[in-house]
Amino acid sequence: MGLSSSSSSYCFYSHSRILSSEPEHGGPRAAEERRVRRGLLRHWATREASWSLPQRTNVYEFGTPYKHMLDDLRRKDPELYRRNGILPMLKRNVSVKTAPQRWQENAADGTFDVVLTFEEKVFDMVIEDLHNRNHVLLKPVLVINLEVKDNHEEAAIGGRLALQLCQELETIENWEDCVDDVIINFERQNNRKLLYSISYY
Amino acid sequence: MVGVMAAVSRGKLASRINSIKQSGAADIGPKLDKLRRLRDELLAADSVLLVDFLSPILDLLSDRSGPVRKFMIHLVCKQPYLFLMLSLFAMVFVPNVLKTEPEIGAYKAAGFDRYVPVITPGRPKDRFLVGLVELACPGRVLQPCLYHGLCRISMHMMDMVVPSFSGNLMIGEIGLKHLELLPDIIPALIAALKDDTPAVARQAITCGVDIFRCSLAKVAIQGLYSSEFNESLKSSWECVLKFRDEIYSMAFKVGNDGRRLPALKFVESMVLLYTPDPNGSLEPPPDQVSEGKFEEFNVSWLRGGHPILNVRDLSAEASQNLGLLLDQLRFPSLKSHSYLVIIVLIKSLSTVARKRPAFYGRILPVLLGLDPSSSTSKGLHLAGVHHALRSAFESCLNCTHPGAAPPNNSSRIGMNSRNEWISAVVYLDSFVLQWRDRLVSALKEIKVGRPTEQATNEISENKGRAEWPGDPYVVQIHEQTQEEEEPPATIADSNVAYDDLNHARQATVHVSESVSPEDIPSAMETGYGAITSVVIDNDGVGNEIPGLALSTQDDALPEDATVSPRALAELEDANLTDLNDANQDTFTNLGRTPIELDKTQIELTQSLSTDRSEELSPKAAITDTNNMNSSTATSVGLSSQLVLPKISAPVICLADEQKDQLQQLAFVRILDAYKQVTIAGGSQVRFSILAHSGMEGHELTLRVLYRLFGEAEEDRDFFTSTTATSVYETFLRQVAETLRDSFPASDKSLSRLLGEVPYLPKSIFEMLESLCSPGSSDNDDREMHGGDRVTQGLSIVWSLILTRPPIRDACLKIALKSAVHHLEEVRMKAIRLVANKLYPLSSISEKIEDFAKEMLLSVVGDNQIELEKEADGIHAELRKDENPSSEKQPVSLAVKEISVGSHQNSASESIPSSMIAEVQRCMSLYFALCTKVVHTLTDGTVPSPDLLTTVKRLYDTKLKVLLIFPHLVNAPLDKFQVALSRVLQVTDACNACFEQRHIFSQQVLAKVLNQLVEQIPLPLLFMRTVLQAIGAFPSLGVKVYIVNRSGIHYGDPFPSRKQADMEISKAVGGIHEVRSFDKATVFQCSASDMDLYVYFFQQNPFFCEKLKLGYNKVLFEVNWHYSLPRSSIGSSHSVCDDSLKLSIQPPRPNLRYQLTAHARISESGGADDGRNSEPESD
Repeated sequence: MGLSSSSSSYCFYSHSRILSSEPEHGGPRAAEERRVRRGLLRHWATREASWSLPQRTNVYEFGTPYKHMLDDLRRKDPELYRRNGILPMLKRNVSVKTAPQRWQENAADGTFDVVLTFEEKVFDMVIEDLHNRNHVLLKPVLVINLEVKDNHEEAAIGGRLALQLCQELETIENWEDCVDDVIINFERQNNRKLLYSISYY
Repeated sequence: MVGVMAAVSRGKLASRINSIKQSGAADIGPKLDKLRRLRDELLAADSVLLVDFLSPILDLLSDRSGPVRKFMIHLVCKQPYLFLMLSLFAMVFVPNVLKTEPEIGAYKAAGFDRYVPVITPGRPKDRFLVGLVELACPGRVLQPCLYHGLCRISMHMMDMVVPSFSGNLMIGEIGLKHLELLPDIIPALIAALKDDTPAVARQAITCGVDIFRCSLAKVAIQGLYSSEFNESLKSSWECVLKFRDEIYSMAFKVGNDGRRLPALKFVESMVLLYTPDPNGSLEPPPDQVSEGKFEEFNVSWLRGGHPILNVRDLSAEASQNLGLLLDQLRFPSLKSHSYLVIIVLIKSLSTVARKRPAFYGRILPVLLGLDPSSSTSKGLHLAGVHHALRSAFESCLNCTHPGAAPPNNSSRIGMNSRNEWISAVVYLDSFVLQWRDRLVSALKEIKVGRPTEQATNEISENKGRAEWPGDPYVVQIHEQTQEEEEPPATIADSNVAYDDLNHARQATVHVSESVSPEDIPSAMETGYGAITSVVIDNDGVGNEIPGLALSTQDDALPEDATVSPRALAELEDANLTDLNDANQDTFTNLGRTPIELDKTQIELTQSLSTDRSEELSPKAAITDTNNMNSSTATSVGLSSQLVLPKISAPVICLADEQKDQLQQLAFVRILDAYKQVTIAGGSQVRFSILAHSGMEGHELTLRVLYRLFGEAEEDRDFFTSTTATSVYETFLRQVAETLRDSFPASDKSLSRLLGEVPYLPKSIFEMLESLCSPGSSDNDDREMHGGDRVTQGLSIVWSLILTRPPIRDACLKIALKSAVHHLEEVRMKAIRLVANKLYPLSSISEKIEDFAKEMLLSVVGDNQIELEKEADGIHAELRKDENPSSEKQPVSLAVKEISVGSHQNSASESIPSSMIAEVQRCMSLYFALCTKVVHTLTDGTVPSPDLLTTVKRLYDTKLKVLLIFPHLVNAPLDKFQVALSRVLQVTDACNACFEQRHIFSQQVLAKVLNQLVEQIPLPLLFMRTVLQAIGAFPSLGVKVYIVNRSGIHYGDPFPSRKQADMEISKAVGGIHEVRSFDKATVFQCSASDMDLYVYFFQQNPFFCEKLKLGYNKVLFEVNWHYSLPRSSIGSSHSVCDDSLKLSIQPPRPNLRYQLTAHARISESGGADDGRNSEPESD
């Protein structure tokens, strides 16, 4: 009874995107997701020979369906994007959700119990955004940052860690009372430093 | 609520519910998803459908899985029908709920009895449900006592039917809807606070916030519109207060975090509720009053008085609670807090600071002084605390409070014109900069310090774990070093302002005479140490003059040029913790000190010995919270009127302590007797003493005034408040007059006084007016109004215009009146002020223009009709004669008409010379403005011969000009506008200039551009002028280096290309791409993923511009359009200007930049060879 922990809603948030509300899938995908963006940016920075970047850069608006990105990149240079792993990643994303979403516009998704970010910058943004909203419900939300390096290997590890963290959070009844211990344990077990904070809806 | 769904089909609902029921207990996730959809459908469904599906829906309430049940409870609470039904349904399981006779009677009377017998355990629920739904149909009003029953039911449900959490929620809902039931509900909620399950307690507190706000609003509104209160509302309110106290005690008691956190949030919301929202409405919204909604509340509604709620008490309570919150972050309580509590405290305080800027000065010192590293005993997450602090500081930096706002117009004006009027502005800015610097340096410390601390921590914590995989902070160090780039811009900014400040400060120091420059360093050496000891050694009446330390430091600045503001800020920070400790000691000491002085003295002592750091507060009136008994706790509720920067007086530490003490005592007496003094008359002497006693006097005077103002505003009854108002006015006027009469005109005391008092009564405006426009009233002492006095008056008016926007218009009126004064000396002074200082202020320039035009027109105004009669001929003539010099005839005609019809001075008809003087009086302002405009156009350059002759024509003989202009004005509007717009045509003017290559040589242009670039803000069309100039002289060496932050900072031009490259790669960490064109080189540099820098270089001339796009641009397309349209001047304004805007727009986090492509570089091959190379546009 009480606040059954299995009902906690999660938000995985990486580079301004909400990726999934299912804890068991969100982690790894979140990290991968970010790679899409980073990959593209980096791609722009290193590969584009022309300085006139707008016409040659692949930057997509939030809300652009993954399907569209996939088709677009396939058309442009299938070999390149397959080699650098972006196409397979997009394919997986298509099966998760339609399009990347933006945290700042997620009010319609309701409240979350836990928000997990994978980059400190993003953590900052979430905290700031929550801080600036009007706290009407006074419903607490736990925001955790698990720093994940931006490459395939780390993303895979980060995904597993995220899942583990969520599972551990599920086991506690009232996170307000004992989240410190959970986090400290998690940090010890995995040699990771987490950043976490509490905000209110 | 989710959007309207047209019609939810019966079949769909049925299948949805079925599928939910059938799905197994294992997969909760999908089940909850289905429930969410069901919720959306149900909320959109009509009551008929609900009735049909009630039974299956309620079945879900007894689902095996907890989450499903919880969800259903939420759902039921949202749907009124379902809610009611659930409550009644609970009766099935709760026999004997309806205990009292009236309850049972009402129940039966409502006809419920037919469907649900009062005591019916174990009956099949289907039947009840159907019946209940019928009962709950719209339009049926339930008796209040039935609601009592429902409450009881809900309370029982906590234990029996549903998770207590939900029962609690339900009580909250009922309470919200029926505030009169609160006496019954509140005890249940108070009991819930102590519930074993933290979630229940949390829910109770959350409900409490809503209930409290609503009942407060209801009580407030009721009291505003009627003086009578019904008993039930009174008792409800008392219950609510009891509840509030319970939550308070939870908030400040060490214990279970789960309960404490929401309790702290409750305190935060209390502080916010009890203090006026500067952005809120001053009256309750009409719908709240008429429809009985009590969602919003702003304590400002109660300004006019309220039978139960006293604004002052509320403010005092808020202030006290804020003090308690602040104490939580001080030692020793800080040590006992858990990580989350500290985080919530920091966030709450920063929220309060942000939403109630009046508290800014109290909260910030505590946050700045917070040193989480000293309370690491519990393995505190330092990084997280630093992080929260950083966010708090950042949000405080963005605060729009006048005292916290970044220096803008005022400082810029100050920077441009170092004249005698500077001091008021600089005082304000110095205050602003203190906060900004401290915040910025604290932010820097956090950013720099954190990774190191983190690393140390981690190393010590994880000994023997050499294979630490990918420590995130190692990466971040680099990023953060890069980020450091921005703050220096601000610092540099403040340096500039400080330079100016020093000038003014020195001047002030000399004026006040009591200070010799030698004192200053010693004062600084004693610094905080001395003061702290004074504070602790508390038997003196209050040696510690507020702001002493601060002003000492400020004054010390000029003495030591190497002391940067940042260093100062750090120094202050370093001392802050000590100070806080010392303050706590002070308070305890104060508490123990036997009352040996009379009451006023005690008050004074208390108010003077408030938290030193808090004395930096922008708000003078907030006295310390810990002294709630002190009646000097001036109403915080007035802060909207009182948010004046608390400017620390440049007090110099007196060597002789006793002397100081004596002086202090004298003030206390004066203060004590101020009322008698005013009544008894003969107060001149004492006021003179006050005025003469310099800055401490200033401090005291302000306190007295604020106190009086508070009394007046409090409006206890008509008599008191009127008395207080009149005493306030008399006192202020007398002090002001004494200041005016006893000090030389160059003294700034009067200006300061008027800048800082709570408000300016009419008499002060009159006094100012007589200062600025001598001779207008009869009793003016001729001697007193020398030119200096006018200057003094005008400078006061100017500083008031800058610092007190609400009275801007009134002050402007005074200045304008002075600008048409009959004495030329006075007029010229005022015109200089108006044209040079006030006219550039965009907010009032229009009014000045209007006034000038009006005065101009007033000279000829009455002739309009007559003129129009003769218009045809004249206009024809005018059209023929474009050249003004050939307009002799119409001019003379106009003169005649003016002389005939001048309503300004009918007596002047026969005396042409005085008439001309009169005309001159009215018009000189207008011409000054015109000259100003023309001057702006040419802006320090040698004006073009064309302009020169034009201006000459206008200027040579004033009379001639005077005569031409009215005629121009009288000319048809379109022609007049054409003439005006021709004068205003910047581009054309520049064009005309640039064509005169022998006058506007390359050297001249270079100098001009260098001057232009110094201006803040950049002159209109600046970039365009630069481009034009480069177009005219391609070899011109113009170097502009723009770094963008909150403004523009102009670096030194790079002497060489090589150095520029080095500078830039140093700044951005590498150049990714270089592309050269004929005459321009474009670099694309990316410092990090966050920022994009684009540089443009004009090789020779070398023109560099750096464009930095902000952080968090999810997408951007930069097509920096850059063109040198030498051959097509005037054709592409907009494009150029857009580009310019693009470059000076400060990066704003959280905003997605969507900069769309403009065009391409069109390289300045120019008209010579007619070649335009357009590099790769797609």
